[in-house]
Amino acid sequence: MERKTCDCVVIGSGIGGMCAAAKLAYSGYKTIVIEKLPMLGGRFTQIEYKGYQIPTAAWMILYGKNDPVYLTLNEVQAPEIETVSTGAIPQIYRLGGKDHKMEGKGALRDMISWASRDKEEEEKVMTALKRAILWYEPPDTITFHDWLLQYTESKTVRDLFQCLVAAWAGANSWEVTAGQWFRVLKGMTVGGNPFILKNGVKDVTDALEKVIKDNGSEIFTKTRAKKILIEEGFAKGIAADVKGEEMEIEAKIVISNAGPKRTIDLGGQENFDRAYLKEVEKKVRPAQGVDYMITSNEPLMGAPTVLFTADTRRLECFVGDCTPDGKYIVRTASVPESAMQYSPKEEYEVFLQDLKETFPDFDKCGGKILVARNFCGDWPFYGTWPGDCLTQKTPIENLYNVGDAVIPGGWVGGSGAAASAAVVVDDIKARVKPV
Amino acid sequence: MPIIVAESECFGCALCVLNCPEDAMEITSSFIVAIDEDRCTDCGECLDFCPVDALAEA
Repeated sequence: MERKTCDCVVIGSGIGGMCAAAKLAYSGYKTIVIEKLPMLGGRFTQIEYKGYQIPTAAWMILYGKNDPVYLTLNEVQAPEIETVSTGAIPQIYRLGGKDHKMEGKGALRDMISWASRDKEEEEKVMTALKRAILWYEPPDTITFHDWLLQYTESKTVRDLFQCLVAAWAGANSWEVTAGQWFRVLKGMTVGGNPFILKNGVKDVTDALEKVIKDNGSEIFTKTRAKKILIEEGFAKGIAADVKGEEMEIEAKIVISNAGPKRTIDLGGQENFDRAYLKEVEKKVRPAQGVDYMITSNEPLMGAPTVLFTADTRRLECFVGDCTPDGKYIVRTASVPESAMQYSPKEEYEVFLQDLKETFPDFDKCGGKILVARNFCGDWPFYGTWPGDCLTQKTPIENLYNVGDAVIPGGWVGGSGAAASAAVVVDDIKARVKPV
Repeated sequence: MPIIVAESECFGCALCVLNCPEDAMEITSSFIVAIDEDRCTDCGECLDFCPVDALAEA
C-alpha cells in the first residue's frame, strides 16, 4: 500500500475543490487533490463533442469581476484567461408576448415598472423588495411566490420574478422560500455583470491545475476516495483506490468536494453528530432539470445573448453563442414544474413544444438538438437550492465540505462553490500552519 | 467484453456520450444511455467517466 503525507487532502476536483486546493497550495500548504473521473473540473469544465465545446454544466462567470472564481484566480496569480465579454451580456425577458431587454443600472426597476399595471403597484412592489433586501429579510416559512402575492396581483410581475428565480436558483418561485430568494438577490446586487470566457470555463480549471502543480502540490485522477479516516472526532486523512491499488493519505485537514451526503458515507454515519445528519438531510436537496445543446446553420438568436421565456410551458433560459469557427450553438436549461419530482421524458416532450414556439424558424435555420441530458441526484444543476447556507464545517474536527451544497450567503452555482472554498481556506489559515 | 448499462442507476447525464471516442453512445428519450453495438469497440473509456457507476463490462 502506498502512503502519502500532506497538509490538506481534497476529495473531488469540482470548482470548489480546485479553488480550495489552489489557494492552499499558493499559501504554502502541501495539498493533494484526488478525483475519481479521468478529467478535472466536475461540472465546471467542458468536453469537445462533434466539433463543439460542451460545458459539463457551468458556462459563464456569473458575477463578473466580483465573482469568487475570478477573485480566486487573481489571488493565486493564475495565468490570465481570455474573456469574450467583460461588459454586460444582453439579457432578454420574453413575457406577456413581448421581449424586454434588461440592462444597466435600475434595470430591475424598469422591468417592474413595465410589468406593473400602474404606478401604485410598481411602488408597492419596489418598496417591499427594498425593505426585504435592506431591512428585514423575510423568513423561510413561506415561498417567494406567496410572499410576492402580498404586494401584487399582476401575473406579469410574477412571471418576471419566475424568470429571475428559476434562472438563478434552479428551482421555481413557488418552491424557493422568500428567505432563500432574498439571500440570492442580495448576492446579485453585490456581484458584477456576468461574462463569458472565450475558450470556455475549462480555462479556469486548467489555470487552477497549473497553480496547484506549480506550487508543489499534487493531483491524482481516476482515484476514488474509499474512506475518510477519523480518530476520536478528528479527521486524519483518507484511504483511496488508485486503479485497484490502495493508497492512504495522511493529512491535517480533509476537504470534501464530494457533497455532504457522500462525505458522511465516507466518514461513517456513526461518527457524525445527529443534529448535523438531520440538517444535511433537510437542506441538501439538489436543483434538478434537463439541459439541451442546440446547433444550427443560421443563428437562432444573437450571440452572446441570454433569453428567458416565461410565456412558454416551462421557464427556459436560452444562451446564444458562436463557436470560434463560426458555428452557432444555443445552450438551454429548462426548469421542470417541480425541481424535486419530475419525469425527464415528459419534460423533453414539453421542451420540444416550447422550442418550436420560441424559434418558429428552427427547421429553416437547420436547428438540431445535439445533446439532451438530465442533471439530477449526484450530478445536478446545483447541489442544493441556493440560499440554504449549510455550514462548510462538519462535526468532525478538521473535516470541511466545499462545493455547491455548502454555499455561503446568497451566491449560486460554481461561483458559490468557490465562495465556500474561500470560507474554508480562511478558516484553515487561521487555525493551522503549513509544515 | 460488451458494455452494459445499469438502467436503475443511469439518469442521462451524457458524460459517457460526450467522451466516447467512437461516437457510439446516445441518450434515449427515456434519458438512459444506449450503446450502438456496431460502433462500440469495448474500449471501456466510458466506464471511467460515469459519475454514478452505471456502466460495466458484461
